[in-house]
Amino acid sequence: MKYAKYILTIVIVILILLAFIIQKKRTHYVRGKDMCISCHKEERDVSKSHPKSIMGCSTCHLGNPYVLNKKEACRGVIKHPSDLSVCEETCGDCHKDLIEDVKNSLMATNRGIISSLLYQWGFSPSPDKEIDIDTLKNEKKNIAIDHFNKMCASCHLWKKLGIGKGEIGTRGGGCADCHLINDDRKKHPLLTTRIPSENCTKCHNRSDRTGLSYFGKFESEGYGTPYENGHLSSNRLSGGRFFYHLPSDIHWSKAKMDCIDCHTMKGVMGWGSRKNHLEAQEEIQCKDCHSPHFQEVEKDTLPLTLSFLNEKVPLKAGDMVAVASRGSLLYNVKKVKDKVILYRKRDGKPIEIKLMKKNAYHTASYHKNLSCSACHSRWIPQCYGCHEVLFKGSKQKNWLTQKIEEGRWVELRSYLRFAYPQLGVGENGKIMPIAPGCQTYLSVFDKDYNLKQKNIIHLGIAAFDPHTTGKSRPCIECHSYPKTLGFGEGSLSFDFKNNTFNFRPLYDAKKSHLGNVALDQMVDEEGKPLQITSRLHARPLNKKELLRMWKPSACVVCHDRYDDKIYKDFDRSFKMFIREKGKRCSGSPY
Amino acid sequence: MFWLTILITVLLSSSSLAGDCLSCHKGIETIDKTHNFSCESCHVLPDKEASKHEVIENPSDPKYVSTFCGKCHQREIKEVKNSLHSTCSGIINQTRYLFGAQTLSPLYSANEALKKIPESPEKPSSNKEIVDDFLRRACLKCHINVKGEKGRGLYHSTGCCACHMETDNDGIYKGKDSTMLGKVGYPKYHKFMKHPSDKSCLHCHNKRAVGTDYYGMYPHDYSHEYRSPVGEEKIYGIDFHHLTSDIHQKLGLSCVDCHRREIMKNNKDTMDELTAVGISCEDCHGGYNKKPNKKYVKIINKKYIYTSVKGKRYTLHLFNKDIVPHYAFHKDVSCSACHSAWNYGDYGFYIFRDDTDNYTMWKNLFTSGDPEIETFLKNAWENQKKGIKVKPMSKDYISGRMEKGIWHHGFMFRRWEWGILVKHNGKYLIGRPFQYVVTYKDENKKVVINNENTKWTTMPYIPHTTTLKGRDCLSCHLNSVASGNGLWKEGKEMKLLIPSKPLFNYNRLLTKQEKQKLLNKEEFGKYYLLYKFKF
Repeated sequence: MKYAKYILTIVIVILILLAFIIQKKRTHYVRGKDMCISCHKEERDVSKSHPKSIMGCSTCHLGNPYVLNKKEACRGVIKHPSDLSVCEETCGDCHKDLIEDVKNSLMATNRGIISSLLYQWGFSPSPDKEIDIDTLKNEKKNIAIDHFNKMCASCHLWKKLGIGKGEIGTRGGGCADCHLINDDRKKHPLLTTRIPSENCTKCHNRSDRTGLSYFGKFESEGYGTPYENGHLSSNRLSGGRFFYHLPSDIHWSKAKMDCIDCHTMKGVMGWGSRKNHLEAQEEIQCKDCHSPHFQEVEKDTLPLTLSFLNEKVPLKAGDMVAVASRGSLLYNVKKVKDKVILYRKRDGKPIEIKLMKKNAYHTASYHKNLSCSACHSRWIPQCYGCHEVLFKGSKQKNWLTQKIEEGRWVELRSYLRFAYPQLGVGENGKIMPIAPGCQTYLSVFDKDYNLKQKNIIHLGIAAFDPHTTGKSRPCIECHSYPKTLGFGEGSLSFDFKNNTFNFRPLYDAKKSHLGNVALDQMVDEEGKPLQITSRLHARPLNKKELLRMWKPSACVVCHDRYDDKIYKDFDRSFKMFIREKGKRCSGSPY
Repeated sequence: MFWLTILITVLLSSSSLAGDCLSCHKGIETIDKTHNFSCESCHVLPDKEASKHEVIENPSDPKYVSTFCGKCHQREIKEVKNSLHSTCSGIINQTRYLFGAQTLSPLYSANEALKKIPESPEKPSSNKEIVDDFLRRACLKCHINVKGEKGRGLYHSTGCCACHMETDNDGIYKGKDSTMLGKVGYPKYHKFMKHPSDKSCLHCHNKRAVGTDYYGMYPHDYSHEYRSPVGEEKIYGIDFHHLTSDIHQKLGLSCVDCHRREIMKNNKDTMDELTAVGISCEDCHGGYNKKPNKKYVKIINKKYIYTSVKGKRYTLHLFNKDIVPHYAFHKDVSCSACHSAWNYGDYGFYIFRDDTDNYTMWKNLFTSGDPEIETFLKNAWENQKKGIKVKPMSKDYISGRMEKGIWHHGFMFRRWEWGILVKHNGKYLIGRPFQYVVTYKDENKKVVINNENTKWTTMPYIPHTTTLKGRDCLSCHLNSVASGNGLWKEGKEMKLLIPSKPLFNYNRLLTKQEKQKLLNKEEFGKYYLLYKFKF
């Protein structure tokens, strides 16, 4: 009897609802493109360029728009029209070329991730293997592919929207993955070209974590501190992770620029042909804005269309806009009189760009091989030791087949660091920050949970721009810190007589049962790489480069200006210094 | 023949009751040559009878030590009772001061040497009220009046036997007494050690303080992401990174080679562990105006020789004032400031007493270095999933009672490569931050203390991670972290790198001038050049 009251209430509510639904069903034809809106009256326009009055619903969602019977009308309706498996019939009606581009872009193919993984785990001789998500099923199965399927494959454009819990559920869905805004769950989502950064960071918060670093977030050691109101910290990331705050990228802290303010349409959506790695698709570079060259916008060209769709960035034919390194016009970077202005795509706010100064510190010939990020990256997320454990007795979802399969992966780690980015040579031959990615220690447990294979080690590192741009690092941090040079934390000395380095690492890998190489040691005393990179030509510094960097390590303490005369011909200065035993050095105590 | 003689002596000298003991404890080791007494004389109280099994397992326990050992060792017992190993005066009084519960003076101790540490009220409402509960349950597991947690590496006895008997890491008796064989929670053998082994010291001095660092061990972080199957079995309640170990350890020296009798000394009025240490590097290696101390070092053939407790001879490396880093400009720098390869640095120390049974909240953080708590939490969580209610309880190590609630703790980040400089008695030392932030949630889920800071401090200490070659000059010079300026101004949590005032009037942070000097490049550059090029 206690519950009778509640049951009665529930029955009444259900009856009211039923009446409401029946009322709704008695629809009459409403004028418009199709009859869907006879029922779905309340739906709003998806975007200015996709008005329901002209396109109706069926252009995107298919179904039969010419009947009023629900069963007939909704037959064949697609919930997520931009899903890559159907989008040719839907979005493709108008955006055929874009769909072609996107399907071949890295966010759809995941080629970079797959081929680097196969290379680093020893299943492929080169990181440039042409293997994509859609061709993966033809590949012979191995443990690396199993790992990709279960751990990585929840982040690509082919993934169906809504599958998976939490953040994973919001990923995927083709065009919608980036272009959709779900601001109100009761209403139809909106389509936009002013893509909010949250859409990017729902995926880009793992691996190199640029989506976190840029905003000054660092994935923490998982303590859940500081505690708040009797709970663990509210600084949370998906998957039970936490973060704390480090300095954010200057483009965020000073200008509040979003990801799309730099990352162009082509750089993100691809060029139509399949690229092996990110750097082949990405087109934006620091110099595109900070020492730009300009081109006039012609009538009826793409920049004008983009500006029109954006609605906030002002642009007209005849304006001078900056050109990105692969030739796209940056419609939001404009020359106005003698100033260069960036219009923020989110709201059109003009921001004056500081141009790269032609001072000695940028023109010094000895630094011409440096990427901007080598000096201007203040920190880099460093996740040392990636312990991949496969439990064959448990099960886990394969994100590609959507089936629960045998074998569950667990990812563990050794330790985290953020300070003092290490330096190496990137794929483009320039000196770049380099960080662990991924230092795999593979353990396999059989069906009875006995350790079968222990410690198969693939130590990997990767050069990338950490998106922590700021004031340049001091000279000594690169030239004199053994860690930055690539040796890692420890004690480094140099024997000038024999031209040899002598390095003793702080981390005892052997005693820690982590192989023979300290996790942060990328290069040995002879300049030979101790860890493999994710690219063929990327590498730690070699001995010649190490020597070049180490030689001025004591000089840069006082001679910390680029226009200092000793750097005009440093080799000569250095030889003289050694010959005269430092007598002419003004700082010398001799 | 030797053992036989001893056995016969034991049998003859003992009464018939001893014979009864040995009928069960057949084969038990003779404790040592000097303590060659009957079983009864050590294990049975004067007014009790052995035949009724009224035996005292550990006669050296502080409760009985005067009765048994006191016949000969009255002086030592009195001293040890007042030593820091018994009083824990440093931990107690410093922490209570930081939490605002007392002035900075030695008032309380874990035993009766000073006033016994009070109990927290039933319903503590502030930092100063909850501090005693925190100390009793989370910290004071490790003085010689109590047995520690039960867990690999953590078993130890009480009283004299805490140090002078070897307890194995698994706490199992492994001697020849068949009755005791295989029992957990006993010393490895029924034998005294004149010189405690390092293992004995490490049963307490582990994890985040001097002790395990001598062996190059640095505890992993707590979250489940750091529980890798690679590496050794957990010890001291957690997995460890291995960093470079102390050179003295590599050469085979043990803790007691340096730390001698003074660790048993009466230190009733001391609450600073650092000043209680009796030895300095200079005692063996010499210093600016100091020759090695003859108490430790002998001169043989014009060489300075040290003989270890294990009997091994070492020729000492003496302090050489002619190498650049040893020039007079460093005479205010302690040896350890440069010669420590790494040090402990826990930035942000968040403690949380949770009286609720919300175990799910902590499910990724069950491991925190206390195996008993870890097991309790795991079981409680599993049971709760099955619908069995389990109240959170943990042990008060002073009273021995189980009390409601469990203390959890966490950090913001921990780093081994950063050393922040502080001044101690006019010398530069590496400092270690203590940045407590307290939360208390009572059983009704009411947050009584919400993330409240205590006083913070950075205490000077001597990392036991000595290397022959010192740290690079740049770990202090031109280094904004070492100088106390932090790494960056931006980033909310980066303020944890700024040190707070050390306790005691002979300690202080660097002054503005000292910071400027440390960050000054011209003066430093000269000698850095000299150091690097060694012309």
